[in-house]
Amino acid sequence: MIAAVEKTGQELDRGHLERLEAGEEAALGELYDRHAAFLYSVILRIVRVRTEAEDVLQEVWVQAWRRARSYDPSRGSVGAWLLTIARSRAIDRLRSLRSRQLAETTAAGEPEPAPGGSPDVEAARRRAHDRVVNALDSLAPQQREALELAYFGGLSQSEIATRLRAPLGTVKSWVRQGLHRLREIVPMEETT
Amino acid sequence: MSRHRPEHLELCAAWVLGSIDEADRLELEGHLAGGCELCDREISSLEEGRRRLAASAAPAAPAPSVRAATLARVRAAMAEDARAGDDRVTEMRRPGLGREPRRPAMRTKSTGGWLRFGLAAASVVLVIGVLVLWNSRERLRQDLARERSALTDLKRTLENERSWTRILASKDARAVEFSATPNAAAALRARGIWDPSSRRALLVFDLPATPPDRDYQLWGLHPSGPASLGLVRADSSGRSVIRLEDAGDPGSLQAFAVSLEPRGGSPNPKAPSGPVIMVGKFGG
Repeated sequence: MIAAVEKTGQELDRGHLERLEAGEEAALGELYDRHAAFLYSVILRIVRVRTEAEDVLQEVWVQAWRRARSYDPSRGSVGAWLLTIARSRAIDRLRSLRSRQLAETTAAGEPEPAPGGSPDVEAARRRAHDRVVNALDSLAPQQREALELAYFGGLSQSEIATRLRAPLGTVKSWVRQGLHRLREIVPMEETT
Repeated sequence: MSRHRPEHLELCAAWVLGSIDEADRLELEGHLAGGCELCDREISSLEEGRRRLAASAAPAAPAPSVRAATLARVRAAMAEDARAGDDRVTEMRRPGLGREPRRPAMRTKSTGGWLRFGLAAASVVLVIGVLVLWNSRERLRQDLARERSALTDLKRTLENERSWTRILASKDARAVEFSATPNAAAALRARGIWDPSSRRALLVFDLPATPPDRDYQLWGLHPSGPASLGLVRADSSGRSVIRLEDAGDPGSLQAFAVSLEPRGGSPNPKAPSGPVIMVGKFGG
């Protein structure tokens, strides 16, 4: 049943993307409503400043429209494709902020979570988040940090090795095993 | 295609997270370009893990006003792109947005007979036909502009790759043969090619991993002294491919050298601070 619901969601997304490509504004609105909150959460986690995160989110949708033709369903879902764009834009912004030394001075600590979407959707997102955080807690602290620095921090493997004072080969193993571990212990439907 | 090695699977994880080092990326993407079922399966599996990692971000939502601002920004981008690729402005279709072609005012049938009604009906059909054609043409123009842009990107990439392969065929190109100095503590291998006419060089290194607090640094040796050509960071298998756009003045470049430096490289860009472990001299 869950697989059927998931498939329907992906088909909906593909339909929206095709309509977006054809220039239909309503399709963009529908895609936005389905994905913006999750993308924004990831962007905010990376750039840590709300105004910057909202600006990056807008850039993501402009880029999604420009690249709609390049989307290849065989390479993954529309959601995964949007997430790749969002993470990439957010890391670019983070690097720009770091070079302006804004990230450190403007943001303080973890951003406050804010509600988004319907209560049901919000509750599901919260459950997925808790489940993944528990899974991350089950990893060795350095392994967790390596994963987070790689994905949310935008650091290269060798930069992570330097930061954690660990051999490069060890960092590579941590990251690979960590991703497999997350996939194994968190069911997919909880994060889609 | 390079033969699959177990290290490729670890590179897949860094690649999926977008945290792969440049030398590793070149290695892995070269390998993937030839097709590798094992790596493809690994990447699919790791992407699922990445999706879960993304969900560890604390749930948050943008301000409601961001939605309208986003739609407006995309609309502006569409108009801008259409202007760049076309002499006409096209916009996103939406109710009430004013670039729809104007329909000519239709006459009513009350003052005319069947002939007049027939003419009016024919006019409506004609207008609809024109509208359909106009829409199709606008779509085609937009498609064409995007395809042109993609083609330009591809041409640029292809030309860059071709320019690198050209140095292999250059009549001036010279092989670079590296040999380890007595300072080298382990087996080192490197080879390459240098084209004095384009000043470019392509060097491939097989080096043991450095300790976390050390880096390899590449130098060009001139009569006036060494000049830094950047760091050489090898992947887990020790492989590093360096493409130098400008290896230095071909009139004075005598050789390349590699030194072992503190992390980040020698504090002095004009002299190694650590031991020189390899020297690359020019062959025929």
